[in-house]
Amino acid sequence: MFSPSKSNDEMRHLLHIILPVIAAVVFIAGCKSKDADDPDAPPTHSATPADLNLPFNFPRMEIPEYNRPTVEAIALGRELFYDPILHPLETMSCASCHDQSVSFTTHESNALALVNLGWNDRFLWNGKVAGTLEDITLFEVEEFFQTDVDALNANPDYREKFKAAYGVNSITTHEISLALAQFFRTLNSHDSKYDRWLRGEVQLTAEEYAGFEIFNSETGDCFHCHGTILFHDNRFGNNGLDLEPDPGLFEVTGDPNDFGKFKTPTLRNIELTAPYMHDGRFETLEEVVDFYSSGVQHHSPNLSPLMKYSADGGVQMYPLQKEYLIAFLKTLTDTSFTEDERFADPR
Amino acid sequence: MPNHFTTTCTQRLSQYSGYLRDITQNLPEVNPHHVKNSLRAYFLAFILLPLGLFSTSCEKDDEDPGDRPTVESHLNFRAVVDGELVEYDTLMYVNEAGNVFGVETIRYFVSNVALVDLSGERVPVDTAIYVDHRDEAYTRKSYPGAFPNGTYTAVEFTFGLDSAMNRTNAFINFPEAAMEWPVPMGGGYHYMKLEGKYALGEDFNHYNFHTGPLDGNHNYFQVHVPVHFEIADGRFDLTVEMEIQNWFRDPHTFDLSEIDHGMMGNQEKQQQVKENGHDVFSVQIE
Repeated sequence: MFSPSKSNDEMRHLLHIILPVIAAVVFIAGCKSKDADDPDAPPTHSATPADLNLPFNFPRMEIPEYNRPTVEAIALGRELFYDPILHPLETMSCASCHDQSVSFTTHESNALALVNLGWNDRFLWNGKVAGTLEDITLFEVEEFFQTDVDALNANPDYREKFKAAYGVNSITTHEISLALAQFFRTLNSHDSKYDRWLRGEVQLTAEEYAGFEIFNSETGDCFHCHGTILFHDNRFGNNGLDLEPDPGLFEVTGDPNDFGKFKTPTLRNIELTAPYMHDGRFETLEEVVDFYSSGVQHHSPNLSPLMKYSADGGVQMYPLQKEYLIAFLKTLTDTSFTEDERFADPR
Repeated sequence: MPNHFTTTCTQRLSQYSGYLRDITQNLPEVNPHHVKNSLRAYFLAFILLPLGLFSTSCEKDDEDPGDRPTVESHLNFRAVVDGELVEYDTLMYVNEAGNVFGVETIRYFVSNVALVDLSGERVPVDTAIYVDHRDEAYTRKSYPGAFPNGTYTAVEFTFGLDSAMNRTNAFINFPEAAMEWPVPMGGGYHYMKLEGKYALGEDFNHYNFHTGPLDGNHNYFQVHVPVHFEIADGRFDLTVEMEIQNWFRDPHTFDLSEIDHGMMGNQEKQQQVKENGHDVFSVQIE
């Protein structure tokens, strides 16, 4: 410390050294404290970053800065996904309606398959939830399950895992939704026969290739809505199921032009995800293809302009063309996805 | 690559440290018997000054006025029928072939967008632009930064995507990705999706006026719109206007009922579109 016995010069010299150092410490502390207060700043706890290993030919996945993938959060999300603790009566879990063996849907629920969902920005058949996976998982936790967070806070194992993943001592629906979103973001299918064919690893049969051409031409005209590597267009449309359709997107937007429009589902793993259409009216792919061939309702309100053959009832395919098309659709089945142990019940 | 934020903070830290040293060197001489008074002065200096400093320092780069672009230019896109803004979803227009038609979808690409100055020099504006006239997010593009001042005589672009750009996987994100042109038909992307209904007797039918490459024919074309304007302060605000009626006339009268089963595989129709496209676009100065 300063001593009155020191000379004025010594004192000045000392202060010349100390002052900038202290100023630097205060300055840097100031920088840090501002960052820590920033709600957009990444979490400061030390969870282990995870790489999703996404294929180059898939779109860029929007991942919020506040929920970057970590090993701990993905594992936690997976555990929560299979745990009935999210249900107040603990009678069902996410997996009750989303069974991995059928691409994370079930026949009973006809829920949209949880496959490549990280590339979506509107969720549910009528688009009720918009945003990121964090938004749909929060909806599921708070509105669908109405999860009792006390049950999780009373569980020391979960408290420890949430602490490791998100640095929190008290679990809220927010952190539950974040962890589930991280698990959902790993549920990506890109190893079907079709993908392996694109990579030059296998050949399609003559029938499958004929179906590929029907799918991707104005003969079957499937690609306009179910195109891209994700096999959907990220839009809503009315495909002409009924003269008096269910309201669909209209329920969300209130816009009469949206009446009868539903989310275009992906066709990946379509072989596994019966029944088909938003109301599950078709049990088989044959029924679906028959519908697009000759069952389209031309006068259904807000019918998509892409249903350009509707005046004839549809694309009018021959039986053999239908067979080829279905053969191609089955190349979108990815058993490495439905059997991936990283997605299975960890318990 | 060093973090710009950290670099900026470090530079400021060095600057402020030097400033502190200057202050202490300029403090008045003190009598050793009055060291307590001098310490109080130093105390005030090294506590209060840094407090003041860090309240103003460490601003993120995007808040630094020095880094903020001072000017911004805009390209707007507008679609009209018979010179009036499109009214969607209504069968109310009549084209040269006599089709009574309505419009539901207008999405397209332009590429290699440039301004042409008085000396004929092209000043690039954008590589490729996706336009969706029913989505405000895709009818106005902003360009921060100054463009060269001077007199300009034209706006040029390619309608569609040139052959170097028009390759599958060039646009992997939505909504551009949904413009894909299937690989069995040559791959790449639709240049335009213009869709709607047309009257067919007492009933209606849909039309999908879809353009793109086919059978080795690129089918894109160059658009050169003469327009005289000055850039005096580094920025411009221009509107590219599409007259939909002109797709259906001059030199070819285009009958929508002839494409009721699509036109993607019909090179004759693609060629007609290309030839009708010469006067579809105009440019207005905002």
